[in-house]
Amino acid sequence: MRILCYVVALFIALTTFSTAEARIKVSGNGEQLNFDPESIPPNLKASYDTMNQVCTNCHSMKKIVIAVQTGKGPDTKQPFDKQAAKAYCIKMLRKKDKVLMTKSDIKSVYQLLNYLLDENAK
Amino acid sequence: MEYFIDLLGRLNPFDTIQVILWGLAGVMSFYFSIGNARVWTSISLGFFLVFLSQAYLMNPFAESYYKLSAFHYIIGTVAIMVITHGFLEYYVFCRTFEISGKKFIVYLTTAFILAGSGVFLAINPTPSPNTIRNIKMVENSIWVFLSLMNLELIRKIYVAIKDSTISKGFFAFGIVFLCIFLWKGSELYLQVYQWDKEWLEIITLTDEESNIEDFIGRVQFSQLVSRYAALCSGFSVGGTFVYIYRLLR
Repeated sequence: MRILCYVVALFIALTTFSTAEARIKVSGNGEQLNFDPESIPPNLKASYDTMNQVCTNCHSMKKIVIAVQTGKGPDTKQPFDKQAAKAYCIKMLRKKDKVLMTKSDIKSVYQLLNYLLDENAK
Repeated sequence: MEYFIDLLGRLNPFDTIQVILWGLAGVMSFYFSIGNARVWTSISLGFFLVFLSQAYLMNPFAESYYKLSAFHYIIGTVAIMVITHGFLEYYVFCRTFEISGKKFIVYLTTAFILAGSGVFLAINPTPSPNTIRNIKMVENSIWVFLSLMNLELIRKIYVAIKDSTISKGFFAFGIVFLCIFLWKGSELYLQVYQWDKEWLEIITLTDEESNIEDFIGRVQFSQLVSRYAALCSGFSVGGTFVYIYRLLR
């Protein structure tokens, strides 16, 4: 009986934990963690591709997924909401290496980030 | 370290020179505040704070920690308030030969105000790029208003002490505030009409329209004035403190 109680408690804890941490659908794990391409609406597919192409020049997609899921920047531990997404994108605009990210790339990524943050908040 | 080098690479030469000049001016003014009479404390401490506010350009954390970025601008606002308080004290001193308080109290009060500003930022939400821009605009407004007031105070002090050795030093301060007025005034002008760099970056993401193309001539002129007046003010502050130090010796 006691073992059954432990199993039930563990099951409840695990299911509660997983729903709290992963509101937005993700795929892969570890360094391969990414947003599930199936969960991206058609009008943002191009932005998703851009994000995967340009953001990964400097860091893995895992960083963005964690920031969106937890609402905190993984390095700075600062809040990651829509305003922070705007600030991050402005930081990218200031980077000198325009070959890696153009203005339209950054704008496109910003739109996708806003969508992902909205979805994660649902 | 890598991030710091990247940050230095992104700084334009004008910003780098500006921070270095304000750094030198800050060291000189702080040294001056320690080694001289109580009447100079607020003025020199205030100019030292200007250096701290300008140092955000080289602070590798200011871009990622938005509260820190906002704090730099608040230091700038406190700086001009402390400077103005100093010139008011000096004017009262040259009319009445009365000066109250101790140097330590001036340092402590300034530290207390800065700590209070830090608490204000800490208990409030993380500032957005728009909020940081608003704080910067408030800082520039206060600088413009108080620079004009200081120019008038300096004129009055100069008239009151024009026969003394130190009077030429106040003439130099007049040049400093003229440069600061042009620097902060041109920045404020660009901000009020939403032609500043920060606003243009924000609207790149938000799809808002800008009329900057219709007024590109006056925008470029204001940017030019802001850039050179900022350099001249840093240079003139450092020079003024060296000059006054020599006059007082």
